[in-house]
Amino acid sequence: MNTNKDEKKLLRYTYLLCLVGFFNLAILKKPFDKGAMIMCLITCLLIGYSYFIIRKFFSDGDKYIFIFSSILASIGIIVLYRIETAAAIKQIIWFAIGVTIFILIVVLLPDLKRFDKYKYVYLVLTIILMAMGTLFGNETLGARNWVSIAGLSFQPSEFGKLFLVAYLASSLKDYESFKDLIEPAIVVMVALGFMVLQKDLGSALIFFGISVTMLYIATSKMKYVIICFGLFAVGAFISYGLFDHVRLRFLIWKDPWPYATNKSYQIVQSLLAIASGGLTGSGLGMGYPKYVPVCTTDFIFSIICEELGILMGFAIILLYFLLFYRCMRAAIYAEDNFSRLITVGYSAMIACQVFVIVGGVINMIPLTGITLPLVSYGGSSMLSTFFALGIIQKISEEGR
Amino acid sequence: MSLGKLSSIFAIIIIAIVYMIIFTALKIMNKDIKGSGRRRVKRNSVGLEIIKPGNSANLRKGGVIPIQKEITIGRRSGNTFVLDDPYVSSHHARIFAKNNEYILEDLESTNGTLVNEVKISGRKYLRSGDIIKIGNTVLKFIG
Repeated sequence: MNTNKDEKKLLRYTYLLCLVGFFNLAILKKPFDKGAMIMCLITCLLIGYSYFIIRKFFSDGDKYIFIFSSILASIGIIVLYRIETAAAIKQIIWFAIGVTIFILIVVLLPDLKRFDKYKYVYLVLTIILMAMGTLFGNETLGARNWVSIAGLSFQPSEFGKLFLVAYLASSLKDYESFKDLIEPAIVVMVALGFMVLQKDLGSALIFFGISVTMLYIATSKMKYVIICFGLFAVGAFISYGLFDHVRLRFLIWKDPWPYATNKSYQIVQSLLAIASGGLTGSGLGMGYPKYVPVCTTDFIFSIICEELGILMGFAIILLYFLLFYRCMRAAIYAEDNFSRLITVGYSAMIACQVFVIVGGVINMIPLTGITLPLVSYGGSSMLSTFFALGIIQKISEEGR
Repeated sequence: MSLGKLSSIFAIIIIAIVYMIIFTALKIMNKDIKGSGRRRVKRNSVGLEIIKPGNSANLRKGGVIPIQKEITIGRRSGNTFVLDDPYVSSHHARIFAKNNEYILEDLESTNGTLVNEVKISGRKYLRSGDIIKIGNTVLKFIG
């Protein structure tokens, strides 16, 4: 029971963070902005209530996963409120739905072991979701990745990632020799091919990262990892030659400054924003998010660095690392191969996503259109992240 | 104080809070790593090993009854652990957990309960290896 004190301490810090953040936003408007304090109240109530439910009914599982994700989500809501109030309100709704999914998965799902038989179901669903983007997708912001159904647009590749991990876990758990690897390899290559065709290079990178991680965990053979990197280099080379959008990304990555006004506008603005933030930032509300395009989704990290400093950006990376550690810890205590592989897969999914977007935004690797999980505005991203975290939480409950 | 200055101060406070969170979390993780070795063992392996089955038909020598938080022992069929033995009362005894320690409580049975050959009255803390005699049945507490 002594872990209860520690969790409550972390939770109190989270409430304090919400309070101070929203209070800061409240005093920015001429008279006191009551909307900000209402948002603060709603956020704190949501977090407190969900924590209470999780602790009361499922006290075996790993509580820190939920606490870390709620800290990240509340940072996101605070910054989104500063950028655009409507986005923040929608984000809170997505957060609430996400937490509901999280709790429902932990409540309703029977133990995960019996899901390992549906290998071909996952395979079909993955291919369908990947192909949906190519066949029905509308081109938005340079990528044909969005599908609108009944007015709501979502990214099928976000959900395709979840099923791909499930498929890889169920086919790699019986790994015995090289022959077992051929089928998953073909599936992964097809999925990557669809991603590149849809110009969604970020998701392709993430898929690749997840597959290599799961491959290494399943086989423990470094030579397969090296072979994969080799294939990646070959694939990158071929796509560089074939597709001009790949060429464009490489061009603005290597030297963004000459094209600052047209092609590399996004990345240059992002770099300027991060640099002007300095160590502790210019303060919430003092920055200029309107000069950074797509600031609510891809470049939210740049806005956070501009207004709250590079120290805050570093802190967010540390929080993701802690979340990743807790998720991997659940994998260690898992009982069978399938659960272990799924946990590793979903943790790698979140970690790779963070790496790809933060790296892209600071121009360490070529920029891609990925969201920062839990912090960026976005329904599909929030829901799929919470789905993955829910499964990890369920597995952590079985193990201990 | 101008709004600019105020915002910078707030920014520093917010950063400080987030780093306190990270620091606290790291301390917790550290405690977790240190304690994770011994914590696993305690939970699942508390039980009663059957040394002498007595008159009960459903017990074998060497079998282990696991204890999940609490068991009741007696002749009545509502008990968790039913001993079909004439020297066992209908509700003979109870073993339950309190703060990670296990306690054996004699429920005012006719013939009493013996722990290590000593008749107990009321409650007694159990330690691993204690021999419990209820009627003709001999059990060993494993914890």
